[in-house]
Amino acid sequence: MTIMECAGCTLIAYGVPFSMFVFTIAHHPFRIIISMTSAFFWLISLLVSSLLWFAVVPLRNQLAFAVPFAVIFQEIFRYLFYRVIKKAEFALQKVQMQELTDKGMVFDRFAVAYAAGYGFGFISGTFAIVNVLSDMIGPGTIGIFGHSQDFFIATAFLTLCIILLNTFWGVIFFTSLDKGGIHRLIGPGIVVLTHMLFSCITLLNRKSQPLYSVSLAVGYSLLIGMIIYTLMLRGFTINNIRQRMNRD
Amino acid sequence: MSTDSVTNSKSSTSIHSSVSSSSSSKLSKKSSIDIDYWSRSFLALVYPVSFTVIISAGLSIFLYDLYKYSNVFEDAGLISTLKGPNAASISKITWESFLIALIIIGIIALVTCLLVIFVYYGCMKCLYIYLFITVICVFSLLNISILSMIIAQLNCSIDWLTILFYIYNILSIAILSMFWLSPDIIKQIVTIYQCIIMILYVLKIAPEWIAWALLPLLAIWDMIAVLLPFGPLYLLINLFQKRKLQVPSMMIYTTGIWFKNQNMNNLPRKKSLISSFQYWSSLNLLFISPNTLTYFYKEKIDKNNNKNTNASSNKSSRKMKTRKSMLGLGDFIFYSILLSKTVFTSECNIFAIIIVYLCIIMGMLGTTIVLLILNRPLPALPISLLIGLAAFFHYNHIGNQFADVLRLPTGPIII
Repeated sequence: MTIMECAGCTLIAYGVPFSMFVFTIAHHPFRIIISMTSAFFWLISLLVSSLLWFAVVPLRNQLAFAVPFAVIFQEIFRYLFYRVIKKAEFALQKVQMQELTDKGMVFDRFAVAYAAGYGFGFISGTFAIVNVLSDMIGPGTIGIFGHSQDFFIATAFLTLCIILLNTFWGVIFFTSLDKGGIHRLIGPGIVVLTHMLFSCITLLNRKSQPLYSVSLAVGYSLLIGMIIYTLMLRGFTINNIRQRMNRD
Repeated sequence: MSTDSVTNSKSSTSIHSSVSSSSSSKLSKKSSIDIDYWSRSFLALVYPVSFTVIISAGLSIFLYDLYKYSNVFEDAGLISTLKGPNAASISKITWESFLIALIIIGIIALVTCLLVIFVYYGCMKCLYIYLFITVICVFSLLNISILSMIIAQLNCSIDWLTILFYIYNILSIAILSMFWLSPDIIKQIVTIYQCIIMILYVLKIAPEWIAWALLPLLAIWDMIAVLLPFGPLYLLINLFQKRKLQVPSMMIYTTGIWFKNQNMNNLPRKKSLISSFQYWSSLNLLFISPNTLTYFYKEKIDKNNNKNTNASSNKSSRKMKTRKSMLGLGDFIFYSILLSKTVFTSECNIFAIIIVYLCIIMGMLGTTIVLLILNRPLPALPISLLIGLAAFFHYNHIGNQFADVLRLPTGPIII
């Protein structure tokens, strides 16, 4: 029965991202490399934030101190990754870009932003759930000492939420910085604010009888908000969508 | 002489592959750095490494209980134990491990110098004979050693006749594929199997501290041997290049990957062929398997090839060429040893395994980027190993506590 639960939670958390990988990233080797590199950048941000948490000894139990800094470090490393990509593109500009365009292999900024967000999200979700899954497959279950029995399924849904959120945050972050002007402040600002909001809401899960519906509801509504904002950034308006639907 | 025919056949296959590659690639003009070309070349190296590394990590998790209690060196009194009545302090054990690791590296260095001397005086026959004996030993004796562990863990009863049959067949396939002709897929499988045997054996005889002490010393040795002008590997590579000798399938494998142009043509054969895989296995010395040739090397694309591409551009099958890059088999082995040691030290913490895997791949990426800039043979081990070791030790002691505090006792806090 534990295997069933483990398989179920794995598929909940990784079903949609795995499909995203297979359909959009697997056939493009460059996007695979971008995803792995952005996962590595997230990893470094995790190591830095855990170092900070470890160093400040008296506040180790007050996670309300560590979590905002973790969010800030993640966003700093997302920005650093943006700079690295920009430098790499600049270096590649020096070679014959016309030839690449003929072959259809352009440096697709949207694809790079998407792959970067996906890499960040994938490793972030893995951090949240993979050790839970490996414990879940053993004997026993949770809830024996009075803890909430919804821990596993809530973790799975929250992981799915954070993976998708990170993907959209990546797209918003990179395209806003590319657009320039006022978007340079709005886009990253929205990303940081919503990330902070989501992580601090999950701090509420720390009570002994956590109400998972709060964090889940907030997370998924933030996700819908991010989807709408991304579509707006990419130039889809309501009229646009209506025209497309009427055409088809 | 069979070795000469083998050499001739291998050189003919490589020449054939390079000619056909140049004639059919319409796409690469003046040697520019394509994104896709470069990414495919890189991924062509990543896939075999990932495959080997994941299989060895899986086997380590499977054989976890057996390995926890192996203490060959401790029983022999070469190293003090951490537990028990004569428990020694951590600094003493670390010091002893470093000494033993230094001795192992000394043996590796000695064998490398012997190898260089052999190649310099042109006695390739000695080399081939030595490698032949090595392959026989690995695939028979070490194979049985590994099989016994797996069978013990599976707790199933298999008679000795079946084992004999299996070993005999594997041995003959291995010798045929390495020293004579065989399909490429068999060569790959045999090489990965050989790597796994050696990895599991090294893990069996090298207890925890020695392996951890060995890895950074190996990284340093690799840098010394390949980068410095008097390093044995540097000399070896120059000898092979100057004499245009066919590198025997013992230390390095070359990847000449052919991908079908999936966007444009619907050809019946859609799968990607891996042609001209030439494997090198490590030298085996006294059942310890060091590797001496661990380096990245990109073959330079000749100007002639480019002229041929412009001439014959009407091929119906458009194949995309990737750069031929060679990666030593010892790299596989030491990456896998790193990953397996993280399995044991972190007690099957899957996130730690994923972290170290990611660091290995990133190290390979970094090495490839430096290779593109410098364009000379480079050691493949140092960057990956150093990043992997740093990340693992950090996560094991600090990051893991952070992760636990976020999850236990209640509610996941998602950062």
